[in-house]
Formats: sequence, C-alpha cells, structure tokens
Amino acid sequence: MTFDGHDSFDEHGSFDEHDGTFEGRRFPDESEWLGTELPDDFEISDDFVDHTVIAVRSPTPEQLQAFDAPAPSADFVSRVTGAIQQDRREHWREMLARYVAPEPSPEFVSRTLRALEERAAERAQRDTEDARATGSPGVGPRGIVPAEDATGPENTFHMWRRWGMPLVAAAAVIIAAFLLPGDPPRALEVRAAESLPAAFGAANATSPLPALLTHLDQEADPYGLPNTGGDGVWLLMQRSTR
Amino acid sequence: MTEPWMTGPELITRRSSLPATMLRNCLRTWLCSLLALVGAPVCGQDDAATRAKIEDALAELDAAFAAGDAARFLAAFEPDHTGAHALLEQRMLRIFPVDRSGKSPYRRKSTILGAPRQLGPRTVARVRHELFKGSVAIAATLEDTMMAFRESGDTLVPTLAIETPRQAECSATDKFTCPACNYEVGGVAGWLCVPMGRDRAQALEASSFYLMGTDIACDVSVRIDDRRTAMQVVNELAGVLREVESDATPNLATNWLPPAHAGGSEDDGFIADLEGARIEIALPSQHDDAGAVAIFHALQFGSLQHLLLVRGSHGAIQKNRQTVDALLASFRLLDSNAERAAAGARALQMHVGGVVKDGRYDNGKHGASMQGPANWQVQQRCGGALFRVLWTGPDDSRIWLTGFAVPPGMDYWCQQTADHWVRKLCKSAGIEVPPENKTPDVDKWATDGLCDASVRTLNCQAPRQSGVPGKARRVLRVMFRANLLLVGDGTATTDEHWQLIKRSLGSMRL
Repeated sequence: MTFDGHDSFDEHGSFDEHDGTFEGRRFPDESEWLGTELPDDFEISDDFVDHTVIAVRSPTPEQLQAFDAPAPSADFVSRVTGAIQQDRREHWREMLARYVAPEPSPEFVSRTLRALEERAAERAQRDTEDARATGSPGVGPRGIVPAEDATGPENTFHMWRRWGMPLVAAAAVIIAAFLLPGDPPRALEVRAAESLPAAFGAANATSPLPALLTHLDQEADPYGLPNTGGDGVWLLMQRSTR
Repeated sequence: MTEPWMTGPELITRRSSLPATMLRNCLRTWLCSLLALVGAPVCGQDDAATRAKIEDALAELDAAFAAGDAARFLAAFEPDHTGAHALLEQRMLRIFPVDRSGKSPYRRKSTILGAPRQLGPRTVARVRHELFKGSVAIAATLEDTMMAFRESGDTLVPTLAIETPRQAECSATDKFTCPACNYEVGGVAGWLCVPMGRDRAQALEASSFYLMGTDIACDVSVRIDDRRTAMQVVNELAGVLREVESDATPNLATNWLPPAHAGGSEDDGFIADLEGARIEIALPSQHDDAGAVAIFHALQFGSLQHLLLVRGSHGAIQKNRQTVDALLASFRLLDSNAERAAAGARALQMHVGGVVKDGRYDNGKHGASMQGPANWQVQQRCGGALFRVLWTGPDDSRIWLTGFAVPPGMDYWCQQTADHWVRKLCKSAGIEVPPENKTPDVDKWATDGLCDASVRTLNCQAPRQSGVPGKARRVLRVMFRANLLLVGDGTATTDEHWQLIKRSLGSMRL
C-alpha cells in the first residue's frame, strides 16, 4: 500500500463519531503511533513530507468548494428586507411611544369639567357684581344667571344626577356580584348524566363512570348505534305521550 | 301478564295508609318496651325497633310518592352523598312533573327485604318497591333500593338511596366476588356494596362501594378491551372527564398495581402479565372550597379490564385515606395463574354468552344468532347492551348485531317501545330514519316466518364512514320478542357487499 498524499480520505467511511473509532478500531495515541511498526509493504516516498505540506498549503478547487457559501434561497432577499423593515418599525414605535399622551381617566375628565364649570360660574358672578356696581345687566334678560353657569346646591344636584347615580349603580352591581352567593356547582354525577340522552341507562346510573365509558365506546365506534342499555321509565313515558 | 308501568302524568297514586302504619309500628314498639320493662325476654327488640323506624321513614316516602310531591320526597332525606342525592332529585323531578293533577290509580309500597344491619355510623336496609294499579301489581322488574339511615332522635332519617337490580345479590359482608371476571373486592368495615345493573353500568359487571357517613364512593367496573393499555385507559377517561367537567385538572398518570399484587414475587401476589395505571384528577368547583377528587385506577390482564373510580370531596378523602386504601387493598385477582389470553373470553362467555365460529354468531344464552359474511373480521364488543358483534369487511363495509334486554321499569318489549328505542339510538348516531308512512323505506311490523318474533326493516341514511360529505345508505333489521330486542345494522360500499349484508340480516334468528 502506498500513501503519497493524493489519496483522499473517504469521509463517509465507517467512522463512529461517538466512540471515536474507525471500523471498530480506536485511533492510537501518540506513543502508540510512534511505536507502531510500519507494515512491510508500506512504502513512504522520499518527498512525502514536502508533498503533504504543499497539499495543505495549496488546497485544490474541489477542497475549497466545500467552504463555499451556500447559494441563497429564492426568498432570502425578501425575508431579510422584511426583517429589516420590521425591526425599523419596532424601533420607531418604541421611540414614538415615549411621546404618546395617556388616555385621560374618567376622573380627570369629570374633575376638569367641574373646574371649568366652577371657573365659568365665578366669572359670571364677577360679571354680575361688576354689572350691579355699574348698573348694567350682564347676565341675561332679567338678570337671571343661566342654570348651567350657576353655582350652589342646584348645580351640585345636577352633577350628582349626571355622574353619581350611574357610578353608585355600577358599584352596587359589582358588590352584589361578589357578595351574593352564586348558584351552587352541579354535582359531577349530574353533569355526567346530563352528557347523555335521558333514554340511556347510563344516564340514570348513580356513578359518573358509566357515562364516561359510554363516551369512550362511542369514540371507539362512532358509526355504530350506541352500545348502551335503555331506561324503562323514559321508554314508557314516551309511549304514554304518543 | 302484568301491565307495563305507565309513568309521567298517569302515575299519580292514592295516598297510602300512613297513619295506620305508624300506629301499628308504635304499638309494636310500646309492646316490646313493656315486655322488656317487666323482664320478659324480648328477642330482637332493637331489630324490631329499628325495623319499625325504617318502615315509618319508608311510609313517608311512599306517601310523598303517592302525592307526586317530589319536594316532599327529597326533603325527607338528609343526604351524605350530595352527588347521589342530586341524581335522585333529577330522577324524581323527571317522574313527577310540577303540574300534577293529584289523581291516579297507582300507588307504591315499599318493604324491607331481610334484616336491617348496622354498617359504620349508618343503618342499611334493602328495600323492594312494588307498584300497584288498584290491586294489580305492575312493573315487576322495578329495581330495589339500598338505603342508609341515620339516627335522629327517635327516628331514622334516610341519607342514601341507591338502586340495584332485583336479581343482584348483595353479600352480607359487602364483599363482591366474581369468579368469571377473576376478582374480588370489598369486605372492608364501613363500606356498603351496591351491585349495578348492566344496562346502567356500561360494562360486563359493575358495583359501587359507599363509605357510610361520608361522600366517598368507589365504583368498580369490569370490561373487555383489547385495544388499550391501562395507561391509555386512565388518560382517555381523564380526557372525557374534562369534557364533562371543564375545570377538572388531571395530574400525571402513573403505574399502579393493587397492593395485593404489588409484591416482587409470586408468593407476594406478583402477576407477570398484569399492568395497571392510576390518575388523580382535581375537581375544584365540586363540593366546598377544598373541591373534590376523582381517582381512576385501571388494571389490564389480557383483554380483561378492571376499573376502579374513587371519588369524593377532598377533605373527606384526606380524612379517610386509610380506609380508602384498605378498600383498594381488598381488590385482588382470584386466580393469578389464569391464562391471560383466555381471561376476557371467560368473562364474556359467563356474562354475555355467545360464540363466533366461521363467521356465525350463536348466543345460546339469549337465543339469538346470525350468519355473517365469510372472511369478514368479527369482534365481540362490551358495552351497556346485552351483546354487540361487529363484522368488518373490505372497504369498511360493516354489520353490527346488537341485543338489548328489557330495561328495568318495563316488563317486556312491544312495537312502540322497540320503535322509540331504535329511533332514539339512530338519532344519537346521526342516522336518519324515514317517517312511518314512507314505504317502502319503512316496513310494517310483521311476524318472522322462521322464528316467533316481530320484525321490520328500515332503510335509512347515515353519515359516511370515510368522513366524505353526504349520506350513505344504512339498513336496519329490527326483531323482537318479549324479553329481547335484536337490531341488525349494515352498511356497504359495493353492490356485492350489499348482497352479503342482505343475506346476513336475513339470517337473523331470535
């Protein structure tokens, strides 16, 4: 056997990566390798070392081809472009989100409206007082302040009627939902029985197991008639009503 | 022949003689007490007094039944088991509509069979119910009731009422043994054994054990199943339970063997081919805040399958864990050397009867037979019907043969009840049965020339087995005599198979 460096190693040979063996044989360590006697028919050419160094330093086109980048898939460009655009959208969304004002709460709205109304009422009152001081009407044909601009108990009542009653009603519903006892859960035996027609014997069993077994049997033979006994009470009630 | 029991609006009975019964029982009790006071030996005084109290309770229930007053009937109970009581309520409300007129010639009489006995904190008795129309007894197959009672002052209050077939024998030790199904279970203190009828059990055999004074029950079922392992069964049961109870939360299924067979050697009960599994399912919305628990146990020995379902509130099971474990430990296979391959066949032969040979099904126990097509695969299936045989041919052509016993509460099959039952089954299976007047798809009832039975044929439409949209033809041959209803049902994909099916259905004999 001659080894001159041109022989290629069959990378699909019987090499066991897990055990690190080739054809069942473990690769010798350094001392074993150095101590191994060459076979009698094994010849090494004189330029073996040079040959090997040249081969390592100057790989063939075929060897280099193994390191070529794979051809891009047909949708590679579109996928990458889409990913880049998505990334940019997310980035801008995060940036802009810092400048998005929060939705005003109902309390804020009512508080603001109330403040505006009070302010308008104060202005109207000031105008009225100024008018009295100067003798000119400033707030209406008979000097009557419009109801929506008036301050005092009437406005408070209107405000309560507008906002308070619905809030109180909503609070009462929420409290009742939590405090009042709900319907007791139906027993498992009843649920199992109700999962079958009342005509079936298993629907009248005192155990839920027959109902579950009936469902299993129906799944096993979905095209057959139900393999179940009947209930005589149901049958006779049907007969008596026809 | 007794008349069929007509229920519903027609079942309103005369008021039973409650005052006379109570007076008789009181006199009996006073006489026993007087004799005991003067030192006379009164044998069974306690038994007599207990019996009298139970009779008083039954009289009240019969009176409520007679008045059609479901609320009064249910109010007489102080239930231990809320689930069983809820089912009793559902059944009573179905029997007694709200708008009863209060007039009926029917009445119910309850009598105690055997002697009441003390079981844990409860007194139990087997009660037989008889229905009368005038002086004529009707509904001879009505189920008995196993009842439990609790002391309440000088009376006994019913806490549990579970139906059991008349022909089922309850062991005095509450141990259930079946050599054909190769097992025994029970005989543990405090547990009441109540056998269940096949038409309710959806199994070859079933019984329920109730721990007296608690809401704990253990249901035992025996089936034939050669298509699933024990692990598959418990997982599938858990899946079905989740469909029924949406907030059921199964834990992981684990291997399990009953303690009697969990040893490492044959001397310790180990059986090589026995496999078992267990799964625990939490039911948080049941019972009180602690919820309830359902634990499925499955054992597979060949095609013979034993199922045990332990159920109850979480608190009760925690508190009675030892006695629950004792019941599970009482389960054992009788013959550990039984041949695995024959285990299911022996149980099937005993409970169902019927053999298959050369494609022919013969059931000598119930007197039914049918010749199936040659070379079609034949299977005997286990379920709630009396028997079920399935022939499967090429291209999914099939013939089903199903036998139905007379359901409890009826005395015999007739044309109307047979029609109602078959139509109900077809409706459940999505099979469209033509209306009565649509001939020739619907035959009239006739007497079969070869056997003394009524027979008719129905040409129906059913969903295609392949799932392809549209309907497929389905032929049903219905045959009955007084004590058995036989339904042959075939569907085919080729004309040749239809000929075979027609020939097979024509060979049905009853």
